[in-house]
Amino acid sequence: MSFSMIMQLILSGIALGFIYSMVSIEYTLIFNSTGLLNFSHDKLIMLGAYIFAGQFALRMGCGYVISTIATILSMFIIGVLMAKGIFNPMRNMASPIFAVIGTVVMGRIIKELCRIIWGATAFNIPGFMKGTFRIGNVMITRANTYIIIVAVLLVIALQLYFNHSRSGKAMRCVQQNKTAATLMGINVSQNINITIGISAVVCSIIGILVISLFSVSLTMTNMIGIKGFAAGVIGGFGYFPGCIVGGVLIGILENLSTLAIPSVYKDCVAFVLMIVFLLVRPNGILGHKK
Amino acid sequence: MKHMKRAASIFLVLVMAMSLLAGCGGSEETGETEAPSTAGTSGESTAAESSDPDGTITFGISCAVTGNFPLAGERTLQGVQLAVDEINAAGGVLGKELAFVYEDDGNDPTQAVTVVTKLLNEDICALIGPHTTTNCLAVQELVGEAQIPYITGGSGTAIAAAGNEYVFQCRPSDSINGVVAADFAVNELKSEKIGVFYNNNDFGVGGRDVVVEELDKLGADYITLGHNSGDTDMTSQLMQFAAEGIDTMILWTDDAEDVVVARQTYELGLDINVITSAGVVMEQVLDQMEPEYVEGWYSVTDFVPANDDPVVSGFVEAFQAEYGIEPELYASAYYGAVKYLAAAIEKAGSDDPAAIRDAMAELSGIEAPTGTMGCASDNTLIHSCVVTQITDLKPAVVDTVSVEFE
Amino acid sequence: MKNKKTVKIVLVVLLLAALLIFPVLDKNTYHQLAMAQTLVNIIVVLGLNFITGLTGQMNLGTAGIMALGAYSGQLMVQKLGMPTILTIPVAIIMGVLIGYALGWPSLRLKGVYLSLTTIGFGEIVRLVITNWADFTGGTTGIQNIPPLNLFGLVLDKTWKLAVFLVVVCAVLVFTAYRIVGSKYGRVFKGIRDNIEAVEACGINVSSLKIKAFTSAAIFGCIGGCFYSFLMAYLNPTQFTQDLSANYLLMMMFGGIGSVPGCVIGATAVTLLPEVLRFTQEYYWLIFGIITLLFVIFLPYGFISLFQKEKREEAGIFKILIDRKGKRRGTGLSKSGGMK
Repeated sequence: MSFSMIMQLILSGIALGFIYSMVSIEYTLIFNSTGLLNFSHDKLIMLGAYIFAGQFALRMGCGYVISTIATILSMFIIGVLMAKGIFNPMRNMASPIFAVIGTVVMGRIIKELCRIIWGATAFNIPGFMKGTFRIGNVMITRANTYIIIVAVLLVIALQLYFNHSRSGKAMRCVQQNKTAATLMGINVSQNINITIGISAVVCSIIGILVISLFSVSLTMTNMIGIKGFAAGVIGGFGYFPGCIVGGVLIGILENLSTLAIPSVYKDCVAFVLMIVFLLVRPNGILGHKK
Repeated sequence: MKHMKRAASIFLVLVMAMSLLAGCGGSEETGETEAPSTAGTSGESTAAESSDPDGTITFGISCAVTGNFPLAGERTLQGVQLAVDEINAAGGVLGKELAFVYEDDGNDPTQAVTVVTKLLNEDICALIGPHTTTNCLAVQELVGEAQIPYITGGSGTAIAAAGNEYVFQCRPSDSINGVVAADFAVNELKSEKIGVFYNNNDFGVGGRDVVVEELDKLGADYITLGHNSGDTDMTSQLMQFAAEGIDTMILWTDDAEDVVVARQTYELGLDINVITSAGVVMEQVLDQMEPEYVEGWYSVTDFVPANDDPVVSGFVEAFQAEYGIEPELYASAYYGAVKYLAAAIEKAGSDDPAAIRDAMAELSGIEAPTGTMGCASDNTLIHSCVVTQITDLKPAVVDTVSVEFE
Repeated sequence: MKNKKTVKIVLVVLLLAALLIFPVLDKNTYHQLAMAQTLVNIIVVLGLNFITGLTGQMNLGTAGIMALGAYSGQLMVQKLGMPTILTIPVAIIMGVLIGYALGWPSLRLKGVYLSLTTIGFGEIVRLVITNWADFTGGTTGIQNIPPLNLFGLVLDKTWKLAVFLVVVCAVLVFTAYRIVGSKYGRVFKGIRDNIEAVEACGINVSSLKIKAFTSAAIFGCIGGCFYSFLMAYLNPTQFTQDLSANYLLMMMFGGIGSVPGCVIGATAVTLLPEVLRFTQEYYWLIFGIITLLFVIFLPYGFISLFQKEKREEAGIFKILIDRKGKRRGTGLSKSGGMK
């Protein structure tokens, strides 16, 4: 077991970990704002990839920049519509179960629509974000470097937005106390619509970034959806820097675990870690308390 | 008043339960015999009544139009539709029109059991699909009890091991492909150390067992590693192979995982020969890759469109004329299955399922795009496979291997 | 008053009789199978109703529970040659074990943690069954499961199993009905509606949550056990996250927290896709849209059509009432989002 091999495992793990981190950021936004988990988030990521690759880049032949902007805009609208149709009516109900079922059903509908609109064939964009960098004997793909950069920029942007802008502060206010926010003249429903719109935008960004790694298919996000939840728990539920730490930790430990246990048990690592953290340290590795 | 309401509500529940059951029963009489919407304009030929005593002979199809593997179902239906159209254009079977009913199994064993039960209750003379080994194992007892001949495209060795005389395999069993792959690695490529990389599902594990048995027989040096279905990162396994210093990798996995392994093998700079299972040569898999990922890869497969064989090229042309795309494994395998079934019905001289089964077990020498079909003692119908090499995303035939059978 | 109750009992008996006769008379095995699947799903949903419907704790690991219930019994039959009848007690013991092992740690925490733990649990169960191939058969699964043998009465045909399932289901529905109406049922609801009040009454909330979760696991394992006999084949690919979500859907479709609701919901969600099959490749889309409309407009399910207070709490009736109120200019819109 050479040193460069271990370095390679760690670096690949970090790259994959940042994907989990972005996933956990995207659902943490909704969780903070409404207290609900969005179980259709993996389908939204997939939808983002389909809209970008299937609709704009391949069918309409737009450039990558225009496609990205168009995808982000359409996903924002879809997010706001979902908020109006599902999250806002349901967050005031007696039990969160209605919202959970609502989002699960929404996810299934999205998947069926994707299959009917863009067909069942998995596809890819030739040459999009392909290529690798080498540092000594260690390799990292171009897509993964983009993912790391975008994830870091995203956390910084979100932190700035929530701490310094007027609408961002209003969102934090809504997170903490909805009654008080209403009394201060904040339109809570509209606020939640925009938050969920932003979350859908983050989903679409993840979708675009993983196209070259996973190909665009109906099953492309099955695993990262659930592992994103684990990343959130390990880092500390509802806390953005925790998402990054949790995701990267899972990514690295998953890869390194193959040195000790059979590689087919790799996927268990995230879930076992999640349950252990829930038992021992429910506030996550950073111990952040709300 | 309150109790009145309760009584009324219970009554309504009862009515609803009954009507649902009735509706469930009613649905089988309507709409099921329509042609698939994917099959284009040629729908009318199959839109006949299955209960018609002398007009048509009907067989059933179970395939995955929805679920996690919907493309297989789409291509299967296209292949079957083409074969049925050709047979009917040539006068049908036994002077009657050949027709089919299809149901979606979603590539899920529970649903497969449901729809196969449904199809078995309709007036069908044979069953084609469900496709994968898992689904085949789930339904094989059912079709055995109903005594309906069943052709599957599942290539796992577990199917033959189940020993059901009503189950036929229309693709080369992994017991053939695996042996050919292992032989090719040792004899042609002169590999010193082989890495066997398998998908941890019935297909991958079955293939691994065959490959490993043959490698043992040849006295080759090898290691095995697995990955889960749906894995998106194989770095750790590939690094372990690199650390062990393998020079050839035998890869037994499904379409989506093929793409990931190909990309990461290239990205990690592993300079090794790769021999893969059948799926990688399909257009829909190759389309997801850059040319350099799979340059020079070998694949042991049952069908590639680029083949000079007249049966293959005729089929490819007809398929392209009909659907505008090149046929692949599923289309060709099930096209062949329908042709074989039609020949068996002709031979049996009736649409009695038991007679068809006996005829299927005796037939041989039926030309199909996937090779010459004939029934062996273990109910496999195809006994040859092709070794192909991929150059610039185009698979070309290197060698055709036929196996002796009883 | 008394004859109203008699009417009710007569109706239930009639329904039972009809269900018992149906599989005997209808020789179509597809109908028998659909009915048996519905009955298995009713059992599982009744269990889920205790923890999620009554106590309000989100359980997304139903598939894992069913898988353990099914595998534990069948593996003992395969490896130890245990009589098939004993799979039912084995499933019950398994349910108790799962209830304590998973419920004890996760139910001490509030909020979304149980749903996350159960997701993880379901995935781990599936991955271990898939990969521990020497013991569980891996993805090749367990084949040729022998039919259930009830002390000499072999249930080797689908209709025989369906008749037996009607009896089992009737017993379990009755049990669930009594539990919901008992003091436990009331406390379960109390935990959902106002946990502080329940605690203030000096009731041990954690222990009750575990009881509710254990009941759910027991019903789930029994359901899994019968599922294995019904399919005669077990394979880990059946027990996915999607299956767990389906059971939640069934519960909501009929009416959360209500036993008749669960029965209706399981029946509707099992049979609706089968009925919709004639729409071919669109049937899952149509099914999805129907269920989404239910979630939005009739969140308390089919049963809430007969319960005034429930149906006016949310959904289409609330919207209609709100609109009426607005037009009169008296009602206050709640869309401001007060919690």
